[in-house]
Amino acid sequence: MNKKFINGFLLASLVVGSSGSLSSCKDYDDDINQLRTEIAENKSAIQNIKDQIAAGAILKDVQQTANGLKVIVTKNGADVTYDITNGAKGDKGDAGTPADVWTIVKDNGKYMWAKNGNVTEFPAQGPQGEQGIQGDPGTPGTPGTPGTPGTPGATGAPGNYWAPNDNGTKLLEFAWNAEAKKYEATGKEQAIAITVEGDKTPGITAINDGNYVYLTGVQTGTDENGKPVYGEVVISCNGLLKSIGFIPDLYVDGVEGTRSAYVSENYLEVNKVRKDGNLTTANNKTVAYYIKGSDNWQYVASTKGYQLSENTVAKFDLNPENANVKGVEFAFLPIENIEQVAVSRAAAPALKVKGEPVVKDGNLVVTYNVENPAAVTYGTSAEATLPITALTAKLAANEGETAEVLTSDYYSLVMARVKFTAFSFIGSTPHKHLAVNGGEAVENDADLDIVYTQAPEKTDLSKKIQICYQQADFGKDLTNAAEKQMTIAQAAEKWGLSVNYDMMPYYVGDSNTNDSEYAIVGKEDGIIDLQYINASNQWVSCGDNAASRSAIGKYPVVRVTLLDGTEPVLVGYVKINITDKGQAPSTIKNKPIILKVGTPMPYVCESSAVVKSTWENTSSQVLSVLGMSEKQFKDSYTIEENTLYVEAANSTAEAPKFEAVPTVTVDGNAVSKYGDLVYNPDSEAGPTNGFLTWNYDVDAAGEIAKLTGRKVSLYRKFTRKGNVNDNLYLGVTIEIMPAPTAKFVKIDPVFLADGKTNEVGMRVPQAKNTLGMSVKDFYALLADYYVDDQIKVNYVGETGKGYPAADAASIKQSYSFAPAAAQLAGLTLNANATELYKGLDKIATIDATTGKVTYVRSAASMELLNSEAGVSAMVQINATYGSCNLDFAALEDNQVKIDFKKPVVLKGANGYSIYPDGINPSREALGNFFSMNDSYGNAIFSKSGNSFVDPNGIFGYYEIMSFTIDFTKINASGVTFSLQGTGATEDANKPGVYVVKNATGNLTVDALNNVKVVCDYGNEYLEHNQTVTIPVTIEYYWGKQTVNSQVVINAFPKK
Amino acid sequence: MKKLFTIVVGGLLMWSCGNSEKQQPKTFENAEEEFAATLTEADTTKVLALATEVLDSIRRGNVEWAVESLCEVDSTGQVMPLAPDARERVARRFKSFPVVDYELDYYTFSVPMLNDLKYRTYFRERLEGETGGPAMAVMFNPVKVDGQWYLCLKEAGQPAKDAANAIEPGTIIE
Repeated sequence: MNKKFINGFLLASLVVGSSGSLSSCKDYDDDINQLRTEIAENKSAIQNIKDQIAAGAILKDVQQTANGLKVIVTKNGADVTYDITNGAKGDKGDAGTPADVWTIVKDNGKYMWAKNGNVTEFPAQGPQGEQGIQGDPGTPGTPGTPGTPGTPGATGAPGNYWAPNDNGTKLLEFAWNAEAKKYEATGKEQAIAITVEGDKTPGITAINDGNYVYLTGVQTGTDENGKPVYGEVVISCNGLLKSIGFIPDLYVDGVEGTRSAYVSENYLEVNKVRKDGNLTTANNKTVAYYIKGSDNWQYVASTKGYQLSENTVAKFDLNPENANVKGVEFAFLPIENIEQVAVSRAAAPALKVKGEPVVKDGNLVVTYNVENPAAVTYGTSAEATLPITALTAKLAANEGETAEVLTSDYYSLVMARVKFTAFSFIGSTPHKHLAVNGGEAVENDADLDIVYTQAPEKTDLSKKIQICYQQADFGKDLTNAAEKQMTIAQAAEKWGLSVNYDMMPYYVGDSNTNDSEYAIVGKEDGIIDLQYINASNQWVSCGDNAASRSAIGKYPVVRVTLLDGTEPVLVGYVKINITDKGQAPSTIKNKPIILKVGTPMPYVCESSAVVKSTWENTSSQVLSVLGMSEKQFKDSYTIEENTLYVEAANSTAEAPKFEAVPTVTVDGNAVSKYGDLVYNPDSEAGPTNGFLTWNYDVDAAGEIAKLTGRKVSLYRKFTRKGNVNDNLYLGVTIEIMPAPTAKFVKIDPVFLADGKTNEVGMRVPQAKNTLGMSVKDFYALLADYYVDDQIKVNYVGETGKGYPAADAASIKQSYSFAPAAAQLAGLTLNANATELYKGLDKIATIDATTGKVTYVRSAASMELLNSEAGVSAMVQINATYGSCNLDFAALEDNQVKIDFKKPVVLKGANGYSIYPDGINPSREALGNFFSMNDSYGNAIFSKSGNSFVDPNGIFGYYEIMSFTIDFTKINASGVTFSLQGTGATEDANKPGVYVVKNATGNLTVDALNNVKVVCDYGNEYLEHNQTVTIPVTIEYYWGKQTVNSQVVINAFPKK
Repeated sequence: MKKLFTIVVGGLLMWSCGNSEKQQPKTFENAEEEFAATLTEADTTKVLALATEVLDSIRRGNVEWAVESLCEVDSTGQVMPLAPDARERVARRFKSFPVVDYELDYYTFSVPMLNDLKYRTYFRERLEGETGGPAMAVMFNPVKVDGQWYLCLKEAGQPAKDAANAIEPGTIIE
């Protein structure tokens, strides 16, 4: 750090040409830091010595004493002595530890170190070299002619010397390096500090080289246990400034730097045009106003540019720390890389010291400005190059002598551009700006409420406003910089700017009243003094008296101007509202205040639940804040009728916004869709009387239940009389619980399809049913599939929190088909989901009240019924609760899949063999080629002996109308098929297709015997069996069904 | 200090993660002690050697090689070679203010991504007996990543022990 730098120069001050290199990074800094820590015993003495020297005294002498040493400081011929001791005082304190004092004395013409006055072997300064060898005397000449004097010997090399080390604990030897032409350390050293063992108090060693006094072993403080800590102290003898080290704010590209801000803008000038406008009065009336152009209501940017440099502070370390800077002239070097950072030499930037630098906390504090800061721009040949400079210190010199000039390290100047943007109010969130012109102030709400009494003291506007600005480091975009704030005092200190205040007249209405006459303001201090006009037509200061009340309701406007000298830099306007007592500025105006948060209430049809805030709530949250009694509140505020409010979507904590709740028409009246929040001004019944009450309404609850969180905060608006902009939004929060869930009982397991939990089969009635039902009656009640034929509800509702038990919940059930998405592809529903369609053909219906599911006979339904995939429908049970039929939150286990079973299941023969012999065709009874069962598994016909019979007597029940055999699909070589028998007819349009049917009525089982399938082959000889597939179709009441019959035509002879 | 301090701390957290149990707030001083415990004389030697190499190169007039040896820490905490514009800027600086001589001022190790290595460079020959300038400091910020040291230049967002933006030892970092 810079302290190392000090050490380098310390050595250089003793020798000539020292490089000052440092071989280590030893923490001499810690030693210096110890200087800065609290010094227990000797702090005041040592500090006093330093202060004296810094003020121009000289450290005259250091002498050994019985228990330490004394330091003698002299100034203007007067000596002051300071004792430096170690060891605790007290009755039985340790005996004072002696000190050693090393000084430089002259001994036989040589400067030597002396210890306690005794000369040692250590030279203190390089003695002069050995005297040169005298030259041989010249040959005596002839008398009369003097000989030439001998040439003196060459001057010997400078001798070695010893000097103190960094902290004065050793002497180090230095020898002259003739080649390098400088002194260099030899490595030899001699310890001089007094050493002690253990916890003994060390002795003090002082070494005085004439420029500095090093004290080692001096108590510098105490540790955490209270034990003394000993260390080193360095004191400059004469306070002569040796060097200055720059203390950076930051580093940029590794270079030390400091920030300096500047402004480069245009001053403002008045736009002298008249302003006409309208404002809204406290009584919500619109009136005209005007402002004369001459009353400076608007400022605009002028063409007059200005540059302003911040009073920047740069800090420097002083070497020695107690250097006396009195009489030292400080200045900055011209910018070293000026070609790279300025575009105009004529307006080159330059740093100027402002005022006198001061020493503070051991640092030199230099305040400076940058002249022509805007000239610090990047040159085209060097982007992003910061200006480089250094501080110089010209020391006082005696007459005839050249003053020495010290230079600090060079460092960079990080320029930051600043723009003042606005005045704002202190403490406002976000920072509320003052109006930018008088018209805006007049038309806007008042910024500041001041009670006419001005008690206890007048309002100081300067304490309520601050200055906003943007700042961007060099090269960064200023326009996007975040806005910051500074106080008026900071503006003065850092920028030399001042703030002026004055009233801005404006004239309202026909009477041309100038509200701004009702206040005056201190031009420089911003103290506002409200005024009223007395009976003598004089404007006087308001006070707590009846006459001053005439100022109530007036709105004077103050103009605030930020000035650079006399030039305006920034302007803002403040509108004041002079108010009555008890109309103290409300901190809760226009903010949402919830007086009561209701407990969540059940969503039911009827309820006596209420959310009620009481006058007690109002007292604690409103009246006490306003400082009002209940009567004062009622006298001061008016409630807005027939309107409820909620916070708007864009409302924020910083800027609350409200919007009216939409209304719905009920019985011809417009009511808030979230119900009513009734205001009861009567508190006579006691503090628990309702102030605002929301009574449960199912429609309102339903609307609230749709909102996020199923809750809403509703507000009534109370407006302060005389100020439409001062409103209280007082309200309650209503939350509606979720509706209950209905869970239906499970289907009777005996009816469930295998492996299913909600799938059942529906069939035509059994042929031999006792209910007199026919095959046409393809229907069932959904409840038939449940235990005891009842569909019961397991109600899931939060009973105990206002929801009734299931049996008291007035649950109503109804039935429908499930939505189309749950049905087979291609099926649709009617509007109330009670009819299922394919295209225009109805497939099935369900009765909404009874749950009767009916399969409807139509072309599409029969096709689906007899298709290989079959057909099904998803039906569902719907339920509501309450007398007003509220929907449950969810219905569980309320859907059932119904498979509509084929009444007749036709199955083709599988490998039935026939044996035509070439002469006699085979004739096989039709019944051999297929089988038929009903949906219950009963055989519709079977073979008994050589005949087919109706074993269950159900053949006719299924109303089988025909069989169709299609021989055209047979692909067999050499064979022909036909059908013969009563009722078998070949289709004239489709040869090879035979239909078996009666002329009237349905077929009986006899047709299966009487009709023969005839297989013949001609002259060919079947060498091999042939298997053919013969499609067989039956047509019955519920449609047509086709199967394939596999028949084997055996070769002849039989094999 | 804002963004790069975050990188510093982030780098510190990444480094220290798993090294210590998170039981109480860790201060910057704690972090420095932890980092110091991992360093040896070899680290000091290496860091000083890197800096000496750069400064000697500049002294010999080979500024380009020197700036190409320098690195910077990007916004994600990655060590990268100096960006082209920074390289040009730094090279221009050393050409305008060459290094005729230099001396070590101080060095201190703090955390892997934040360390101080400061030299004083003299940009013209000093007259015999001349004290003080013309000198300019160059502050390196050596960073240690994956056991490897890289030499960066101290930037505006990086605190330094001797600057006004120095981190208070008691600052809680996690």
